[in-house]
Amino acid sequence: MKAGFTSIRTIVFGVMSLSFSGALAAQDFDFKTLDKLGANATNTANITLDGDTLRLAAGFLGNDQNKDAATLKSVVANLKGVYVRSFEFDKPGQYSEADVAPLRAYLKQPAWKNIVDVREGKQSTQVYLMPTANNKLAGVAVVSTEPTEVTIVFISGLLDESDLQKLSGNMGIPEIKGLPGVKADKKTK
Amino acid sequence: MTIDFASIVAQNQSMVFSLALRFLRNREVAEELAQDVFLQCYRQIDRIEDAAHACSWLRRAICHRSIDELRKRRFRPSIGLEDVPEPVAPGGMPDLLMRDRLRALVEDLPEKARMVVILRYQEDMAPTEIAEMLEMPVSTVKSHLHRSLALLRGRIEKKGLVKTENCMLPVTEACL
Amino acid sequence: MSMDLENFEEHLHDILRREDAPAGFAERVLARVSELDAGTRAFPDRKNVELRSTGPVENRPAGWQPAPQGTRRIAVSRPEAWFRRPFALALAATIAAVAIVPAVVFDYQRREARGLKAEQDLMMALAITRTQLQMARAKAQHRQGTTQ
Repeated sequence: MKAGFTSIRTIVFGVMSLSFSGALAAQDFDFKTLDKLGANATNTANITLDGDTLRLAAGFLGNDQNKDAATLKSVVANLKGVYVRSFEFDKPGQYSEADVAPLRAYLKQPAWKNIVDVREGKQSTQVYLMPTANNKLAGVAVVSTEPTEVTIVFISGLLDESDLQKLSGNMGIPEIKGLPGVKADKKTK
Repeated sequence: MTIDFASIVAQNQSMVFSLALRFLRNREVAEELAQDVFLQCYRQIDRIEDAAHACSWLRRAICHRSIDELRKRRFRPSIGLEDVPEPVAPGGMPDLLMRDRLRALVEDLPEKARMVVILRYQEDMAPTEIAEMLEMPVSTVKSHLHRSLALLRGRIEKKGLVKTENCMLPVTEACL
Repeated sequence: MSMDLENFEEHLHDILRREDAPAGFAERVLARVSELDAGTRAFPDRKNVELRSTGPVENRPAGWQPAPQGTRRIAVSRPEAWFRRPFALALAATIAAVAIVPAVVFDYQRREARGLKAEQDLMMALAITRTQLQMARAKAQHRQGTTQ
């Protein structure tokens, strides 16, 4: 458990100020290795948006007169790929940690910095960032596992700190209940 | 067995017209297409076995023709989602607004998802039946249903038309 | 009255209930069927009728012999040329219009459909991302609070 930091923002600044060269591209990870996770899932969200598809999607985000849409477009313009894999299971034991292992091994590479690692019982959440030389982020990854849910978010691009803030903000994105990966943690309410 | 075409039309006209209307969102085009489908049925009346067969034949034909028609024409919703007016305060007619809003949201779904939702909730078809009709895997049908419902619910909630016990996570400053 | 989420599917059934066909729809369909049937009856009954050429003698085919006396001569009413029939003309115009629509228009339609789907996928992905980032922050702060 990595605890004891007073401000996560401080950590982010610290990470981003590291000079880094030769970063591995976030999109080098082969998401097909996660397919096994969904074998017994009752509910899945499997979203891959990169390259042309991402640009195409951005073009349909609403007109620029809408403040939220403009904010959203500015963030998406900095993204190269958005990968979401989220699986819900009807009972524990329907997936194996070994199925998540390829991703964890990938994120252990020096290019990735683990800034959040929280484990509570059988739940765990890790957040990784891939900093670049000029105080930007080439990648953001979130790995969240619970006995009946696994959610992986993987974003590549060239983001700055404000983009990261916006990704966790509103931006006119609706709260879509019922999707895997969008279940509020009761403890944090 | 003699098939009475006039009674086939009488029994199925609402189904055929309504499917086309919900999908294409245009009454004139929906009627035109519905008429074409009945004419197509008439030309192949020799292959129609009975009334039930006629119904399923017509349903399949109007679904596929509607999808083809959408690809040929350029249909835009009459108003975008951003332009739908905000709900009135309590004491107004929120129910009608909500119904219109929900209908508009369904009509704005992508074509395959829209057709799946229409077949499920207008025709009460099971996912396996929808899959066979639209010639897609059952898992795809279920995925369309699930994601469409989630999206519709989310957008209805966002517009403040629904009370829920769980409020949205508060928006604060920096996350990380 | 606001919508109850638990009855969401009932509301979908309600708003997607079948709508009646427009008044006179069945009559219009049957009228088109009649036209279709009429269009297939192009020629009158030709029993007991002999067709005779009315062209000049020099154009008559070799071996032509005049008809025996008493043969009935009738004028054959030629079917109306296809381009004079409104339905056929409309059909031909429709086929021509469809045939000459540029490929780029079809491509635009496909692109629009793909774009709408991609936009929905993006919104879902961002909704999940937001939730996960917020939950990670909350958990980290909660952990930080319990260890201080």
